[in-house]
Amino acid sequence: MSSPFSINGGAAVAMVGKDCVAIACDLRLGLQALTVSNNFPKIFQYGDNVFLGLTGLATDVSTVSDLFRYKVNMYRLREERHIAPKTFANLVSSSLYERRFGPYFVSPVVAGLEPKTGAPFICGFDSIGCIDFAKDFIVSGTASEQLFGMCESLWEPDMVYLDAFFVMRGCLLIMMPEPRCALRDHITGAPQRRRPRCSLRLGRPRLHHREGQGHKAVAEGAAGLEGFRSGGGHRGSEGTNISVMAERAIYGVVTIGHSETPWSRPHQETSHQAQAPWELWQ
Amino acid sequence: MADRYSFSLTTFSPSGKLVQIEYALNAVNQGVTALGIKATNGIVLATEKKSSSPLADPSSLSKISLITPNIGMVYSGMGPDYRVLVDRARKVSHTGYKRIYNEYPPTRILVQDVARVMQEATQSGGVRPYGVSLLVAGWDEGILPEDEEGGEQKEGEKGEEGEKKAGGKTGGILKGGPMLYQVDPSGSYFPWKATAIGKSATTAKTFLEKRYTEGLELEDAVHIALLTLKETIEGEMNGETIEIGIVGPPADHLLGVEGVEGAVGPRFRKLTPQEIEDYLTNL
Repeated sequence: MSSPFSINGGAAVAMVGKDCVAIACDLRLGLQALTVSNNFPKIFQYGDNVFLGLTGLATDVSTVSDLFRYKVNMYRLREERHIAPKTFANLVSSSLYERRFGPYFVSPVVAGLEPKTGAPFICGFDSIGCIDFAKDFIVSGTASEQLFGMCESLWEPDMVYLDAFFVMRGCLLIMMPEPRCALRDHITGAPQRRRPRCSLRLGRPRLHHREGQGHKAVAEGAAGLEGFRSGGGHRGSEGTNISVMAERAIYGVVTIGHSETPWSRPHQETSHQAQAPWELWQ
Repeated sequence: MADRYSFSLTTFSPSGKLVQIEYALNAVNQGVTALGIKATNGIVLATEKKSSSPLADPSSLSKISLITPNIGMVYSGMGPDYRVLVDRARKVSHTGYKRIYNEYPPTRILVQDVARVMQEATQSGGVRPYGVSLLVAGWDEGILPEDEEGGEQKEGEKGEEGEKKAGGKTGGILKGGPMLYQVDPSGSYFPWKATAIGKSATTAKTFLEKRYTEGLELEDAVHIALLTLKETIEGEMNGETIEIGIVGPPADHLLGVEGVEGAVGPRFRKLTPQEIEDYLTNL
């Protein structure tokens, strides 16, 4: 319990889909059993389609995310281009290994799309920077066992944007402290189901405990939320509605980089997209 | 009066000059001519290998050096200074880049790093500037999608009637392609399509201006390089007295291994004396 990796809690997951990646984390900041905040994001963006998830000791999450903001901004100024996910992953690795004998207590996850080919890229790291390249998914943090279970049962190759989103959403629900029913349902009932939204619904009634904070989080929202909402009614209208958004906002952030949505709606670009390469992030 | 400002480089002369840098340039301008030409699909670096005595073994002399698998360098001026800079360039490409990003630096980044080394020698106490100018040739992989690049190329061809195929379309960190830089003792650097440094630089540049065309292929560039060298060379031209380095397609035969997936050979390589002889017979 006194491991610095589990004091504040938190988990992140990244996975590969067809021409897309998804990365998600919870928003909880805890002190062992005490919940201090429900608005502590652990995913950071460092370029067009380059994301870093950081779980572990919260102070190191802040320090390391700021350190990479600095390093990536310097990279962009020096090279007049955005950093590619693979390059960024190597930067993360070498930066963490610099602290080999006094490491940051974080377990990073990188997800992104290679700028040249648009190919999805994900990888994870240990706290001293050993890279774990993966074709499918990467989990990290205090719920990593549960996330492994979810990913093992739900991940399949070449998931399209929406499927990837729902699997990620399932992953998010599973790592939350409260909706255990969702965990049960997934482990016992629906490993083969392509779209897990029905089973996920089981968790929903209990999620309304934090409605107030949830809607606040929606307002402060994560990038990509709008794009999802507008496409929500596509496959029949079952399963997707605003309260689903609220669930997500309470419990996590999903950010998806992709070239095209399954309903061929153009991806909602983040405001950073149009930036000149030498302009800084944040 | 002039020699009062000649020894400490951290001192400007009243006219605003750092005369040691000018002396360094004089050293360069007495050096053996070296030249570089950028083509659409590569770059050629060429120079004369002059030995002071007929007893010298020319095969042991080398003026064109590989820095990274895709970047090569040639100089004009003082040989020993060049060797130091080659070592520094090789070192900094690893410490300052490959060990951090696990990839080799783009040409411009390497050029900036070498230029910084040369600039520091103009502002530090107890040192003199490097007595060399460098030509650095490299190939950048680029990060923009290939199809976008192709589309741009097409547009460029249409806009300028296919003649300016290479105009602004090759080279650079974003699009990728060949880049040719000159670095001077002051630490300033310039990108070129084709240029020459050293004793007959002016003559050679005039010649290159006449011969250079947009959309040049690497083979033509080697040809032009030899023709230019012929104009300025003092001794005999053969495979032993000419040195040529090219940046071209990946040379997988230089990898030393076979059948490794994803392994790409170096783009920079030096031509063998035999290859140079072959070009010379076709001149």
